Amino acid sequence: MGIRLGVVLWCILLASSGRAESYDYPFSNPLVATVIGTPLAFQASLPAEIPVRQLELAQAPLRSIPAIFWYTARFKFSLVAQPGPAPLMFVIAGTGASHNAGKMQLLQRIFHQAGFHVVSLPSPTNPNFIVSASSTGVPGHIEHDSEDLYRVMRQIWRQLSREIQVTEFYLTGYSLGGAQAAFLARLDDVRRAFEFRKVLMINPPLSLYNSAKILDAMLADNIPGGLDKIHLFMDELFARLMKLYRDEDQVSLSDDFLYRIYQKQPPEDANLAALIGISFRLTFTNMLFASDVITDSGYLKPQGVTLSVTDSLTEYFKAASRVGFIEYFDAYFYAYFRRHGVASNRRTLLDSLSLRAIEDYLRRTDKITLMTNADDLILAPGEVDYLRRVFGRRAKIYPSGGHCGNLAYKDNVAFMTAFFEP
Amino acid sequence: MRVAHGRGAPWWGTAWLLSALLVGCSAAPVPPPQTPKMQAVLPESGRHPVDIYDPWEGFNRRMYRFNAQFDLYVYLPVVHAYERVMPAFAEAGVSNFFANLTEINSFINALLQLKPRVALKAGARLLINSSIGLFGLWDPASRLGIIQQREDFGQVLAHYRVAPGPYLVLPLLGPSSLRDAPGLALDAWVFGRIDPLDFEHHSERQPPFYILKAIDARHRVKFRYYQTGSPFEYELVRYLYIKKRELDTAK
Repeated sequence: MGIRLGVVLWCILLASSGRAESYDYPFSNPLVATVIGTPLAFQASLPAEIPVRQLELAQAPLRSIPAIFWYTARFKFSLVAQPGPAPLMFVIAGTGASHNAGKMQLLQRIFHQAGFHVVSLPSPTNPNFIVSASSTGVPGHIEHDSEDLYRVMRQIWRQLSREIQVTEFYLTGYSLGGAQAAFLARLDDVRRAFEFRKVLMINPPLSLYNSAKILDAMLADNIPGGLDKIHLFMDELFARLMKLYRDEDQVSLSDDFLYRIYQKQPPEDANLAALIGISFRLTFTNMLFASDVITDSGYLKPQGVTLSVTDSLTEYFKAASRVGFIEYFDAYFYAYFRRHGVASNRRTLLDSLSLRAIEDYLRRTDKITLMTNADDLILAPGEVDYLRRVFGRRAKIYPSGGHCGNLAYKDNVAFMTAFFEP
Repeated sequence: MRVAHGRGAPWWGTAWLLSALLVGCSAAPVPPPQTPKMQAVLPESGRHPVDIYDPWEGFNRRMYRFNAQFDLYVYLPVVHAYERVMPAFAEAGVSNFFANLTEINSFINALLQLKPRVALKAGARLLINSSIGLFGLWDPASRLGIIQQREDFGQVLAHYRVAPGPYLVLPLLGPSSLRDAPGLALDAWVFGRIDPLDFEHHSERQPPFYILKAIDARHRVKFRYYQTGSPFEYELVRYLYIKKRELDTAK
């Protein structure tokens, strides 16, 4: 009896002594995690200011730039350099994001502190990339986008090689950038311009189609009365903000502003989902219009019409914001590649927009690691398990965090820093 | 009629603005024909949030681009030089100094809106920061819990149910409206009449005052044109400005 008790107690002691890792990220709701991110108190300790330089590729652009895109004629990226020789980390932005978006700045701070030169690139779905660097002008084709990315990375390296000393190259990206990092690693294995030592995919989608459908549904399903009533939803949102503003003595958009609102009055899941859906739709709207103008496809803007700076774009915004991914794929994306004789089969094209297309490579390679969350919103049911099977021990899957919500959380930062240690 | 120089907004500024507006109105561009997709989608869409009354859109867009280019080639380089030269505490001191002076206008405008509590806050902040805060360089009032609440004359007009009127992008000052723009001019004129820094007898103080004020104003605003790269930034800024004014006038 005494021995049995002793054994039981010892087992309990073992179980609680750290064999089971505890993950104390504060939000178990993936919607909350995605919108609020990591409150300051839970964030890793990172430098407040880093020497970021906003740069442009000196190369002449690929095409003549339409007048309305005068401000984005050159490819923009940023550099955070170390004083002496150091490894260089390329960071690829998530869907629609520019080179200095919020999460990009966070990753710059993390890797600068870890001793890397950091080069931040906009996403191929960002208008700056579409206008100044995309060979087709139609983003979303992950193989073509990766070719474009690889080309600009080589141009950037040529431009920077005289001013910084680089020992080795590393690569990372979050969200769509994470998926592209995998394709880039595969491309680099053949072309060998960089010979990336290690690659980290952060919260990537598995199937772009599935993820886009999920995000579209978040918008369509959570606006009371349907998309036609979105102005009412936005008015309601601002009315709530007004009430909070009135009741609080000040409203400062500091880091913890959203967290404070959440603590005072937790928003409903439906509203959070709608916000995420709106954010994704806005990204899409920007991308679709930029692509339509660049390719002169005649989808929104009539073919042959040249827009001037004084022309109103409001009608184009209104129309573009009504287009979801499925419609984009069928009426615009697939139509474009069919016109150019590249895609004959809708199914084949769709299947190529997925990490499954390079499953063999992902199983074989040992330089790529995956960091994601079991409750990542953009992954459809079953996709987390698939990723776990493909990456095996090279998958770090946290129990919570939503979509990139825990990027600044101290455990995640510690993991990323440790992974890239030479 | 002798114009009192150095006091408030110059009269010729308003005349120039009005004539520029008229030129802009007469050059309203004709929208191009619609594609099948546009024809299919637009009629059935409801009221869209970014559809904001903007009859002077051609002029406004031209001014928006001018402001963006001015920012890129003149304003931001000067602000960056300022930030490199000045230590952080000095930058904060300058910001506090100018913020303190706006309490004069906030006090008057709060009274005009019959908001005594808000006026009291502005008055208290002015007194505390000018004395203990050494002529406004420090902001002990905030630490005592008396938070700044700016009231401009546009908000006075809004209080008395004056609608914002057409959206207007001002040269260098950016988004405004037909109601708020003259409000800014009036606030400047009132400040000029009160003349706390005695420009009437020390007009040499004016150039450094206004230059430093302009630099500080841009330094405090973190907005950078086209940072997100959205082709619809004009629409988004217009929408956010209108919503922000609704928030301001609600308090």
